Amino acid sequence: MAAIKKILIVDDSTSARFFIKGCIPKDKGYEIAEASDGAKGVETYKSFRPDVTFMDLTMPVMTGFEAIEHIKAIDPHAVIIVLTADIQAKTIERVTALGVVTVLKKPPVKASVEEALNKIQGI
Amino acid sequence: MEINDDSTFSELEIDTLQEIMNIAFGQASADLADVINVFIVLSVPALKLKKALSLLEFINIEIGDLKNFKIIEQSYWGKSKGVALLAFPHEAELELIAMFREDTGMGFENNMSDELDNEMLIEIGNILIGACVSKMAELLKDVVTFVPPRVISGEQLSEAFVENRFEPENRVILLKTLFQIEGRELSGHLFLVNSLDSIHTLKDALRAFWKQYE
Repeated sequence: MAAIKKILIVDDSTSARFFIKGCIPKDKGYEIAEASDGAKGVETYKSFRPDVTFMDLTMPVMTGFEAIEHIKAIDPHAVIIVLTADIQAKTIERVTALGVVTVLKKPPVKASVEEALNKIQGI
Repeated sequence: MEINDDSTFSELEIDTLQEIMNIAFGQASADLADVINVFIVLSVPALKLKKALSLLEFINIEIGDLKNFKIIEQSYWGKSKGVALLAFPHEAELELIAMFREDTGMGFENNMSDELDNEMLIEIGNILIGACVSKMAELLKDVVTFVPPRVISGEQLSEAFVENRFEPENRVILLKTLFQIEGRELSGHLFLVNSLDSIHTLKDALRAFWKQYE
């Protein structure tokens, strides 16, 4: 894909959003937007049109599973990375079937986040 | 990170502790799902600060009628002392035991007995409590030692139980999460109750956790 310019982070935890922002390279000039639940994530996706979305799964109002389905219905080519504490094999199978690019486990690690972003850009 | 240095927690510290429990319980659920073929639906954990004396009343309100629950109780200590309470309503407990027996083959050679059922519950407790508490400790750079778990009835969770572990007038930190087994009417609650003796140590650990991401 073309270079990543915009990143959306969807997570109900302020801390979790801070942790993932801390793992995204700061020298690439990414524009970052945040949403605090799945429903807000879908709305922000529509208006912000990110190149990559980091999606938590366990959230109030609308889960990440549901938000992924909504976003994929809006944009089948949406690039979504699931960042979750829920590392059950069935969870990974389910979100992979929904078309996410990869699943990263919490807490995020800089090297894994950078590697995922680089892979998406085909570097 | 803004740290509130008095004897309570800032919103951000609470949020971070909840997130750490979320991560830890996610690990514990994956461990259990490896043993029995289930999908565990997780929920967002919550943190409360309570007087030790009001702990039972709070738990009773949270889970409904405590008398109908079977509880796997396990004490542990690291930088602070705590107790984990894994509570299942009686019907859920029986179903969980049946699933555990089916998927692990444990207990087929014996007649069903309360003792054997308790052993299986202890095994489930070992997985969920052990993985969750150990992962939280690991993330906060602590090391915990466990007392062997035991199974008690909701009725045994008395004021004496609390008084033997905590100063009744002191506040305790209570982290709780609800989980459900998909496709079955089966849910359970995990409560982690910790003394606040070492609140400053805990705040330091949270600060160090944030520091990694600054």
